[in-house]
Amino acid sequence: MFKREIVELNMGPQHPSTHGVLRLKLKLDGETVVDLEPEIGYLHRGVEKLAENFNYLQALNLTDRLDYIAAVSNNLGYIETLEKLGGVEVPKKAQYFRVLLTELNRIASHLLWLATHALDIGAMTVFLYAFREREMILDMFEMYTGGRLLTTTFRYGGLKEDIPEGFDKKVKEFIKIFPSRMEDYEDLLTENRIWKKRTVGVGVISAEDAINLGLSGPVLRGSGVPYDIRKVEPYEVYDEFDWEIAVENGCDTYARYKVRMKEMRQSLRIVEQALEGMPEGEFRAKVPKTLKLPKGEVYHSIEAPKGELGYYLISDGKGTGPYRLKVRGPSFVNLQGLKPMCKGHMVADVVAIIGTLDVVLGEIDR
Amino acid sequence: MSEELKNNPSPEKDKKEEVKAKKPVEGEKPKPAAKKVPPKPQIVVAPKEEPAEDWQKELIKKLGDDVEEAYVSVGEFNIVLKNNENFIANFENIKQHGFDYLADISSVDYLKFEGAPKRFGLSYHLYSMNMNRRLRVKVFLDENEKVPSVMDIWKTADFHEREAYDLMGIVFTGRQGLKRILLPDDWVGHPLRKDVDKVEGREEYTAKLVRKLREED
Repeated sequence: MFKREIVELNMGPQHPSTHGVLRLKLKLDGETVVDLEPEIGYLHRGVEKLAENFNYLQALNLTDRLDYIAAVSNNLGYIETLEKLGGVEVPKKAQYFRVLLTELNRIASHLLWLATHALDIGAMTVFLYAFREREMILDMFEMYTGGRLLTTTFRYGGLKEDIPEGFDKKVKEFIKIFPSRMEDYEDLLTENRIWKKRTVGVGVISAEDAINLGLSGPVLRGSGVPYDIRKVEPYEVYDEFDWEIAVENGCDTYARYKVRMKEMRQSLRIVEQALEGMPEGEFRAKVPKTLKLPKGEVYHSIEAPKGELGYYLISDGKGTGPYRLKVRGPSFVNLQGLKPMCKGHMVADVVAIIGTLDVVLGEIDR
Repeated sequence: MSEELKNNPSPEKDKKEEVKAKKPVEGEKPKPAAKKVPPKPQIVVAPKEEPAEDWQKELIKKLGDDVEEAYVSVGEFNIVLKNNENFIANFENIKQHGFDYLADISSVDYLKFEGAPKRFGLSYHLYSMNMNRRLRVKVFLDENEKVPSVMDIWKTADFHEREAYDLMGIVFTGRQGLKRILLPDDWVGHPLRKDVDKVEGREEYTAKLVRKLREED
């Protein structure tokens, strides 16, 4: 005779599949998840408090370290928030280059997601392939900024410096190679029977629930909601390019996989157009050396690889730094989707669902 | 490093400044002294405008007397609500008005901010998926003033409210599981408050941990 019992199990904080120091308190009935609670804060550095003690430019360095996989997107969101309050017109050339770098960063972020997600589920080959292509993008970042992960890319009013010689050649090479590499990944996964068995019908969340839970990015678009800030509230020059929002109606892990794969192709389209249409001219508007912003508040959000990345900035008009800087990290909010997605699934599926949410703990814990 | 970054504009610009600096060699000296004399704190304030669009007027009308102030600033529509018994009903009203997506709840400590009516503030950033509009609802709170939770309306409020409680010490009523989220459960104080130093509490907490470990030994 067996007695049924609910067992509590700790997953993490040190666990390879939790992508950082995330601890999950699981309640299990056999191997089925009955309840789950994420415990976060292991990486808390107090970024918002630190930002209040820095000036505007110094705080830019902090944003690199939020979502360290997509530092360029973080920089862009922060700098745009400053520009929105300061009312600066950014030259066209800078805008094009910003879009180009951000989209390359989106591809790099999705490649890392693809690599680790596939590795978690057991497809090791994709891991090595995806890292190979990600390396090309990181080399480009290194060429322009000197950094590979923490790039501190943009400045108030435009770019840090002009586009280096030979940069376009590297991008062109990437554009030439990448479509065939995308086919390689898809050959390995999209119709793979094991992959489908592990992802189809796992981690289902309906569109209404997803909106109510505040999910954003590919997680929301995998539930059939065409919410992409690049399209609905275009910033920079996204409205000048020809591209589509990647949406899938499956609501499950497989749908979110397809959304991200589609998104990489669309990002490449944007990169191609941005490179072709790159205008000549100034790379930075005329701005004062010490930045002072008017008294007021502003919320600005952009479409980061993980979802809606918002900055809420309050300036008191006196200091040269933010009075309050709140970061709305997409991973922080998306993590709330974990509980409803995991209920009723096996422990092994929890690993798949963490992967599909694509959380980065640096951004959750801040 | 920050110094370097600050003074790191384009190389052309640097050259220009060098040329400028070289020309008036001796006439330069009294200038910095002259600069120090006028310490006029000129504060530029982002202008507030009257809400002009129809949906904005409609929403203000619907909320009635509970609206303390409504304005448009930096292109963003703001509504300042009163923290009274209609608080939850007002948010339900706003949701019915199409604002189905709660993007963010931010807590602010206005202790050192001029012109704020009360000590704390909460900013709810809302978005309407169907109509593609944004709205900021603000509430001002005194110290120890509690505010009803909006978790029943938007489930996403859970983490945001826990964060506001953890870092700013704002208490939300009418909900379960209001506990610390980023800091350890036995942490004392709320570090994002303006009267708390950025390192305060850290040493005490470490000392407490060490003591605990020793006792266990």
